[in-house]
Amino acid sequence: MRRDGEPAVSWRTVTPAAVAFRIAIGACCALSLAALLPRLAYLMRLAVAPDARARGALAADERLSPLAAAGQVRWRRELAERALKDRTESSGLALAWTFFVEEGSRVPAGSRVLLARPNDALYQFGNFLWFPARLEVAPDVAVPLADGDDLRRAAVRRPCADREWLRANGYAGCVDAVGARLRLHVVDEGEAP
Amino acid sequence: MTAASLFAVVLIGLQGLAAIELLVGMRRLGWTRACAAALPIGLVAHATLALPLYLAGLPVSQGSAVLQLVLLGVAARIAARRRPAPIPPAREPREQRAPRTHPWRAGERLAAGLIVLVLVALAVTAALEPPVEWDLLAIWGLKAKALGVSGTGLELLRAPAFAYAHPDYPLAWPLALALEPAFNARAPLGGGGLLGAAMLAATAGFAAVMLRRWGRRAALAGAGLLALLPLAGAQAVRGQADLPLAALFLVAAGLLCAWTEERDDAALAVGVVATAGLAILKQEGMALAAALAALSLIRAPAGTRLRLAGALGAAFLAVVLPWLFLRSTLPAGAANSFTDMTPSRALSGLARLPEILAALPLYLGAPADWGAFWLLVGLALAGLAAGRGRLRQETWLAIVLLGPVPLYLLALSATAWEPERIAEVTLSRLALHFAPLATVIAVGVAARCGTFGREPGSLAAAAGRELHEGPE
Repeated sequence: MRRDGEPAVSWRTVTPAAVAFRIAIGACCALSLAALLPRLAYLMRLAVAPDARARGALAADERLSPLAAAGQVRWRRELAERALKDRTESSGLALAWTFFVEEGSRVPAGSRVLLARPNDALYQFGNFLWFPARLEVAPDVAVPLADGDDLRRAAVRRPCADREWLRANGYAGCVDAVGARLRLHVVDEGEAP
Repeated sequence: MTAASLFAVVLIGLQGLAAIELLVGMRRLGWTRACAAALPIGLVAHATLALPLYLAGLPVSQGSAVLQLVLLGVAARIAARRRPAPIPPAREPREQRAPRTHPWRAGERLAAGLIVLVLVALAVTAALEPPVEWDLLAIWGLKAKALGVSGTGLELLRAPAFAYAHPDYPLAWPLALALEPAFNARAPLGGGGLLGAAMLAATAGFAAVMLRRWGRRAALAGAGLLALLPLAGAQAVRGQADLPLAALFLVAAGLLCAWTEERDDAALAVGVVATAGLAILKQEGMALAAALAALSLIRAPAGTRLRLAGALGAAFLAVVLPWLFLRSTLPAGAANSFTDMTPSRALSGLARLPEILAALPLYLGAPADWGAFWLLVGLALAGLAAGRGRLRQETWLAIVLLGPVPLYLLALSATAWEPERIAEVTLSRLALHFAPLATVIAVGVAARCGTFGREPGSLAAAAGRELHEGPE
């Protein structure tokens, strides 16, 4: 007996609490390992991708990368439902990422490019991937562009075909889209110096 | 690129070790504990030095980090010479000491191998994957590029066109990312960098160091739970700032706990620096630092409160104040729940709190993000409550864990977003801040119950004897 009158328990005895903890820790490890399996397959795909551009396109695709929607349960469900409906649907983020990486070499460092299609993902991806070149939605932005709504309100919405206006406002290029396909128009490209 | 990225990790870690040597001496803190805390403390040391150097005209680069390391090393050397001799032998507080070692069993070797394998796989993924995560590109990575050698400087953050990048967010993480080649505007496209993955390894390491008093298996369980945690792995690979914040919160809470509960003087100086560092890492860090400091002041014995308050004040002046001055010159940017929170906004938003709380089971119970992690933590907290304070350290850590939660909930309720969107975007991410500390508590309580056996010389064995023979 213990001094407080409770029945003695051998210190080698496995208590019910220890059993409960063993089950909980085992479940935790098993479920975590199960969640890590798709990541192992993803790692293999990354490892065999031919170059950084291909790896980035894979990583930016929310449906192909198990890391993309981590922590966002509803977004994951939506992606799974969409995948069931249309297996060929492209990922907007992956398309945007690939576009900015592929076209980056055509954008002079430190230049300004107009985003004729105001969209927060394009704007923010472009400003990172083309840095120090700047992607803008208007020549003079006075209001803080905190989100997509601000961006759309502030946008000048000039067509990329208006090269005179682009040149007059100091833009080296302009980004627009035909359907889901993004295009970069370099203002002085193809013209006599 | 990978070698340069590895060098960035080494530079941060060495700055952490130099800062620890400067503050207390690595021997006094204990070599293992110092090494485990090096990377999170290095983040704080790097940011604390890099910011004034940047403002003095030196952009952030691996070269500037080497200069910082030399400065810190010289200061540490001088401090070590001036420290009163003889330096106490490298003894760690009783509860921090590892039990007498016994041969590694096959299961323990297997567990250690699995942990290393998972961490290496995460590091390889991070080294292969270019920066693609939206928040990283829009906020942390953009600032890292701006602060780096080929950057355009903080003027970028003052432009309304970049308000989406939250100009008033703390800069410690971008200052560290600026050392990574991926965030050098002139570097070719490559992997996103190893800092995030290294931070997860450091978190697992520090959790193991805190748990080793319960025996080797408990230490392995703590490190394993963290290394395997799916959301932590994703954040580590994607270079998000939440995992470094969680790591630093663990270090700060662990060291301050060692001081308040064990009178471990060496832990105080590093603990207060880690606490102050929380505030320069993320906005939520302000809430974590405030709660941890307040709770520690309440918990500290009456005669030592002034000393703790002085140490916290000094750390705040050295680490946080320069950032607050700089922040006062930057625009607020996008809506921000933590800095925009006023009592009236918080009160008016309280009605939305039940809706946010109702979403918790959906997000914290998602096996793809958490496994059964929060179930284990819930079990441990219930065990702790039933234990009636027998586990002094774990009880105190649980109070520290739960202390900042009301502040988080108030901030969430004051946000202008719809509750459903808040839950989707923030709940899992914010919960990650508490995960490493929750792991230490859960494994500690589990070890007390004999979950990992009673390793001779460990606290688990002592607890078993107490159970057998009754308390002394």
